[in-house]
Amino acid sequence: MIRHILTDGMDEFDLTRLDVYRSRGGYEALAKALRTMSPDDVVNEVKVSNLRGRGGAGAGTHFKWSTLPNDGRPRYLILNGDESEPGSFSGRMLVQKNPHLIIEGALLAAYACKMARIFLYLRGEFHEGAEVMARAVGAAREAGLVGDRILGSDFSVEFVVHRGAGAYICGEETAIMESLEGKRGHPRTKPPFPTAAGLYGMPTVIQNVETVANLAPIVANGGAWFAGIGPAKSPGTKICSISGRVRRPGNYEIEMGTPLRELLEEHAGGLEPGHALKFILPAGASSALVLPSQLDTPLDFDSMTAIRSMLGSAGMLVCDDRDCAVHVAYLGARFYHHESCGKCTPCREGTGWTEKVLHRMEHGEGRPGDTKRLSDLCAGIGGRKCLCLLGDFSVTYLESALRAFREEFVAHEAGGPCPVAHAALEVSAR
Amino acid sequence: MTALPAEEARAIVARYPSPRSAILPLLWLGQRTAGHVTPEAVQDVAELLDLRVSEVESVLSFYTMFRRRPPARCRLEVCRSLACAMKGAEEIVEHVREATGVEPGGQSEDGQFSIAYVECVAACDHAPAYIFNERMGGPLTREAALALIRGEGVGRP
Repeated sequence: MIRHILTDGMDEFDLTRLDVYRSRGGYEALAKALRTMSPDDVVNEVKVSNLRGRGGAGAGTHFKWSTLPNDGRPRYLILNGDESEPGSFSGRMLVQKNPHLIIEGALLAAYACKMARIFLYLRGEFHEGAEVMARAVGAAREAGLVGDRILGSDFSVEFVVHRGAGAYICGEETAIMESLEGKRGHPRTKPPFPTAAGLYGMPTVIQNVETVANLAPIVANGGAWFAGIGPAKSPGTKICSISGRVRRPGNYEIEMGTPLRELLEEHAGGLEPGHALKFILPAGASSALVLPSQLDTPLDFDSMTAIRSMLGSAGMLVCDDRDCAVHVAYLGARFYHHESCGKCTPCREGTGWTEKVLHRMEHGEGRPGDTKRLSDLCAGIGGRKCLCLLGDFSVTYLESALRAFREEFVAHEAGGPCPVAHAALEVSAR
Repeated sequence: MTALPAEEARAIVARYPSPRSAILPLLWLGQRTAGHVTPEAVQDVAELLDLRVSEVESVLSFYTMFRRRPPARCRLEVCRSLACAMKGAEEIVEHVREATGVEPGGQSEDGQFSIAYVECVAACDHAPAYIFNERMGGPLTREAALALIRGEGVGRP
């Protein structure tokens, strides 16, 4: 079911304005924390809440915080607003429409973990989002909510809005630190993990903007309230971005555990008339496809993993009978080849080879053995051979499509026009 | 410094625990000031941060959004990632190419417009999505694309 926590009032009110946000209870969680709670109290509420990261991996927020070493070095918080996964656009909406919820959550995280500074890393393409956030941070600073001695307390923290400049890889948690340090966005080896040695070598927590947006509601209402929403191991809500062949593409905040079918059929309006569902990529281009027979799967981290896919950032791309599995694979391969940072050989070379094979299959020049070639490439690129997961992501959909729609790939080996009707035909007939 | 507004540049550097972190924001400042990142701006960034020009260049060349040449007046970037490609983004760009002779990635000779493909801009709900002069929009149509590059604005979502 739809449940507005992060999106509460967002369509009715201009929450980008500090006065409006405050008139609806905004920054009261921060005031409550600073006046009545110790940092450990805030940590404890987050522990009780069982909040898990919304960026993709679903790591426990409290667990991440608990690995910060207590050694007196400055700690940093990086908010990941580099949203670049094809199919994901919930972060864009939060940044543009509810910036203070992100700021308030970040301040609570910084208070709980005694952070020295907060960096919001926004992807370069969010021109408007960067303007909205800069204005919001400025207004919060003027109101004494950011900077020195926040709300008259002993807690001080700076908030820096930092823009990327076009690179998918910078959403990866070690590349984002390299980029913030003013370098090319290449991933680092792990370990050390960011909480041990992150930004500038200091303990660093990296959280998706949607993750921290949950913190003000958690502190305001208590961790137990949050833990009671949806499945116990995967509580809260998730803003699902749904696009592709649906009648009402958009962002829908649902309770975790809501069946995929409900999101698709009730909220997104179902498929376009006269067409049948073929498959869904539930976590953007980098997720294993979900078939129509799996539509009753609850949308939460563990249920989606159980069907060999993932909830991830819940960027759902819906494909119908017009979409050829090979065409979708080609589009994904082209994206990953473009976005591979070039550091690790399996990903740098493998994404290029994969695109080349799929390009010829897609353009009527497939060769015998190409399907097998793609399977071999998947094996050669995947399996955590690289510093980051971009290479693995590039073959996740492909592997699942080779399992579910192998005959479509094999049919493309013969060359000639695509044997599966796809979008291009419909568009050129417009 | 010759190419960057000095006061603003120094304020940017002061935001970071390490000056080098200011490379991207300073390059953005340079692009905003001159329309593109000039060699003089790169020189300024290097001097300000005590780096070699080659170090600044190595960072600059990694990111796709910095322009090295003066921009066209109307800059249309069309997303070609999954949702947008499924909704016909490439057919629209092909239509523009046929109508104007300008290839994707290119610019008209008179500097009126440029058209380019970009990867997912996180606006799949407006597919085919585009960015026109730093503003996101969609769904793009053939007619809207031609109107945009002619400088006739169309409504935004």
